[in-house]
Amino acid sequence: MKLAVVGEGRSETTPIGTRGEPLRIAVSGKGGAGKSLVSGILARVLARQHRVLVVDLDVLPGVALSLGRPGGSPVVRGVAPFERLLERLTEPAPDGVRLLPAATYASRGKVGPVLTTLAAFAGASHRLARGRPLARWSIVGDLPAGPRPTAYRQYIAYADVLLVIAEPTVQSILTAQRVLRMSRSRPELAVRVVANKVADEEDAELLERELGEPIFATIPFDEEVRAAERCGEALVDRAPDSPAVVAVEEIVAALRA
Amino acid sequence: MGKTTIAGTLARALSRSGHDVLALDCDANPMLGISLGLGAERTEELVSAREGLESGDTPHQPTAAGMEETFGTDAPDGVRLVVAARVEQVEPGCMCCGVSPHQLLRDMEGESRMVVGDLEAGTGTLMRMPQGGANLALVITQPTAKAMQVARHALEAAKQRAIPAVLIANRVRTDADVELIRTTMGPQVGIPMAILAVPEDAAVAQADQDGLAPADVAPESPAVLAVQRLGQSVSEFAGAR
Ligand SMILES: Nc1ncnc2c1ncn2[C@@H]1O[C@H](COP(=O)(O)OP(=O)(O)OP(=O)(O)O)[C@@H](O)[C@H]1O
Ligand SMILES: Nc1ncnc2c1ncn2[C@@H]1O[C@H](COP(=O)(O)OP(=O)(O)O)[C@@H](O)[C@H]1O
Ligand SMILES: [Mg+2]
Ligand SMILES: [Mg+2]
Repeated sequence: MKLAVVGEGRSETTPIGTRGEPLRIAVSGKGGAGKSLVSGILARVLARQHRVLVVDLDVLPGVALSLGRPGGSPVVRGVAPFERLLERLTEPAPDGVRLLPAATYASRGKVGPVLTTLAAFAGASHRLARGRPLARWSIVGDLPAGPRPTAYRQYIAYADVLLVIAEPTVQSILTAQRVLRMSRSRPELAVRVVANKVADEEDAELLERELGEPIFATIPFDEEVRAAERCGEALVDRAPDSPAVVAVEEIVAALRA
Repeated sequence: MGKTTIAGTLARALSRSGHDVLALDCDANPMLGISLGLGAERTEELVSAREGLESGDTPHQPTAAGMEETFGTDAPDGVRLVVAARVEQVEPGCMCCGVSPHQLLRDMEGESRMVVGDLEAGTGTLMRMPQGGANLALVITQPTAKAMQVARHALEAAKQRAIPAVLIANRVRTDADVELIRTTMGPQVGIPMAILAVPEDAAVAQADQDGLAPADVAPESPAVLAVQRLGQSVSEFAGAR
């Protein structure tokens, strides 16, 4: 896997992972920008190729809803101690995705006898992500809103790429700038700005101009999102060909291109 | 949800109606300056000063006055804004950083101004508050499943702490939206003193997109007028205490 590097000499076209390799992604942005929506779709798209672990780092309800309810898909197979642990700590989601409600555990002050705090989990997940048990898993982390120093230092230590979700509004742009500022403390982390709820070309241009950062991908405003939410279904299940899903598929392809 | 939009608009309405108002931005991603109409540049200056505590660029302010000076500014309509976002590099016992929003509110016991705090999304801050930790909780919700789930927990947390609560049904389009919120909150949780509707308002959304205060660019819009009425209720509530 090649790592793209933020800062001097960074190339926007440096691939994060090649086809077939798992991706380690964290998703950030302002509240309401679309972090959970994007995280959920990303996980389901990646699950077509890999096992996927979703780490929900936000105490607010979110990615569990955009992932959808688990169907009859297989849960973690195998009997290795790690997989048993993973099965115990995580919840099943469709397509064999496992959801770790890390923020909920942390807010209750326990993750279980083995991993007692979120920080401990984060450290462990970092080592595990690089080690055998999770080596073939893609990981998607849904971060709490805004700049969070601890999250960047610890909880998403596993990540190779940070997606910053931004809407074409002043507060969303300010948030993206704050997140970008903070992400500089981890220069090895590749940062990609994703414009969400974009109505037209002008919206994307505004974002790019204001941020002074290239827009890696654009997700259009998609009426299907609200419709799916209203009936409690995941967008990927209800409208697999909708513009937002297609856009996230393109993001996965672009991260590997 | 609209916490920041409503907090900013409310603070200005209260100030205009004669209260001394301190607006306290307790969100890790401070944006209250924008909704107050302070502008992006000045808001970022305060936020940078706050971030400077983490990097060591801003000296700590062990006194309330120093804190208000360093992380605060005068905002439109005479509101005083102070950015009090949680800091990770704390100096033990220091007023400006060692306190969490709930402690900060508690320490303001003798504060004669009306304090409007824009808290972090979710119930975290409320859960850490002691009994009677605030005089009034404004719980903002919307007619969506996620928002109503959070509001239910917030009302419950307020009830457990004997904090009177008003439920704000924000971004409602129809009476059915308000009814949905009313029934979803149900009798099983702390019943708010009142449910107040703030309509979905295109002018507010536009102001937000432009980073301007609704109170400046759309003072007569339905949502701003609704928040003004909320201000009157808050004012009466404060007077009755
Ligand atoms: N009554 C309303 N009509 C239309 N749009 C609204 C209304 N209230 C809020 N909004 C919009 O909803 C969005 C979120 O509002 P706001 O930033 O105030 O929410 P918040 O709860 O403070 O969010 P965060 O969790 O990020 O702190 C903004 O785009 C705002 O313009
Ligand atoms: N591309 C999109 N098109 C339409 N609506 C969207 C889109 N992305 C997000 N939304 C809406 O915005 C709201 C916030 O999205 P969510 O993923 O929960 O944000 P976050 O996790 O960043 O707080 C959702 O209720 C959803 O309806
Ligand atoms: Mg979310
Ligand atoms: Mg806010």
